[in-house]
Amino acid sequence: METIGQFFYRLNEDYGINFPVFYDAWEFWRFAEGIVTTLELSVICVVMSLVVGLVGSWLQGAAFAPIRWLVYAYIQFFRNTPPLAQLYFFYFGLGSIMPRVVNDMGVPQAILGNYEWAVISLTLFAGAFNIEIFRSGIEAVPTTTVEAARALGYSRLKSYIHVIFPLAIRICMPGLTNNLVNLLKTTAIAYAIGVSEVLYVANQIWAVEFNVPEMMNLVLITYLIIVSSFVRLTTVVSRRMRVPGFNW
Amino acid sequence: MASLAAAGALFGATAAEAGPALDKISERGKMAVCSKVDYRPFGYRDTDGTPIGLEHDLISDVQLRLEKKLGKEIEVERIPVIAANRIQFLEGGKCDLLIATMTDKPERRQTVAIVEPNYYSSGVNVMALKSVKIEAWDDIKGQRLCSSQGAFWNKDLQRKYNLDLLTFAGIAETEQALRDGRCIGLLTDDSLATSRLKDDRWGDFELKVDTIMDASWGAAIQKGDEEFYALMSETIADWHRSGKITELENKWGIKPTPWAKRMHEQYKNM
Repeated sequence: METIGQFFYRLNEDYGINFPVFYDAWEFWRFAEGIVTTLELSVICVVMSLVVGLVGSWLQGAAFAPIRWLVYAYIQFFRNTPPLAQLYFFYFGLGSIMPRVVNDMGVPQAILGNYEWAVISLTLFAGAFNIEIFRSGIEAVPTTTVEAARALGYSRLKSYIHVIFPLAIRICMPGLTNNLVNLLKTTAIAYAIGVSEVLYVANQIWAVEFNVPEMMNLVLITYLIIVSSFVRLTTVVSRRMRVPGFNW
Repeated sequence: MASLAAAGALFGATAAEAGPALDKISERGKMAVCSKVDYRPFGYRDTDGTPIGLEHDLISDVQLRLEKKLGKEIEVERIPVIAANRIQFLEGGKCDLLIATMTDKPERRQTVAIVEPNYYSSGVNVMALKSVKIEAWDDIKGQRLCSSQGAFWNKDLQRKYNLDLLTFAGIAETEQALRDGRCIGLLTDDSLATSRLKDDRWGDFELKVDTIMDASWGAAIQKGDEEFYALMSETIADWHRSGKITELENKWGIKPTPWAKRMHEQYKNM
């Protein structure tokens, strides 16, 4: 560890290629915390957006029409507006009019912080796409299969859980992976509201060190590693779920 | 003969242009000054568009001194600059003098001549609600504070007080975050904050602590002009000697900076 630090220290001294996160312990931990925050944000948002997708796609088939309209409106709103604008809207727009509590320093503080708003905003954004992706899977399940399940006595919910959804998820796996990869990358916009994820931390560092190109490279490599690990994971899951002769 | 005279005139003109700023100013009867019009109350536009502010008063004082020295009336052309282009403007000869809220930094001294002594200074302070209990810098330990991205004090203060810093790209966002109670206070340039606090919108806020990390502002001219440098250096020393800076702070409603007082003490007997 010591020699790595020394190598990067010399790299800066001799060639002006400055990677402070590798020789300055404080910057290292700061950057490491940034990576942890990005991972945390990613995991929470992926899981929650999947829940939104599942519930949403189920509600899309509801018999009561206003529920279907509501889901439709939600999808249109979140799919057709930029995620950064949504984030600003939530944090500065809604956040400003939310109830406040006085903290121990005597400041009337907004009850939801920047991290919470980032989770909500990203979840709703990716969730809207997930609903449509799940729907595409559900609609691709042959009607004969659905009818067969109902004929065997499954209720609508039971046939959804035991027959339709297990087949649908296999069909929509590629689309789902795409959207979740997109979500992982989009977590970077949380930087705009000061969530200390990777891009934000990098920005803090280059503002002091004026080493924008170095930090930008580091940020991109970090995302490449995170995203490619995630893609690997989904490939393994897809393979495990493979039904020979059905999806591929 | 005529062509010889023309050549002489041409040569003469070239020589005058390359000469010191004072000759150039005297010849043209005009001095070009790079100044700011976006930094109230140091340099901004009056309702009729005229540039006014503390720095513009200083520029007018330079004008008077030049007129006295050169024994003729001098016109001043104020060229509006922003932080990103001011040094290039001076270096490229668009102006003879630069007085534009510029912090004196070693890397800037490599490009232009920054006049000593510096004429003003600002530092960092905490702006927060009057009701918030911050009386000394130690009171912000471990707290969440707002700041602007790229502010030079961020890293040092974050380390020193173990701050949970919330920073944004624009001034408007940091201010909104402060108003929304996203942080207990805003780390800000004290001179900027004082002028902001004059606004009724900020009636519930105040500066909490003693300003620290003073960074001084320098006037600048092109490199290698010793005569003009000496004149500017004497002018600025005289501003400190006479207490002009403090006087202008009062005029423009700026909270007197300890730095200006200190400089006055230092120069008044010199």
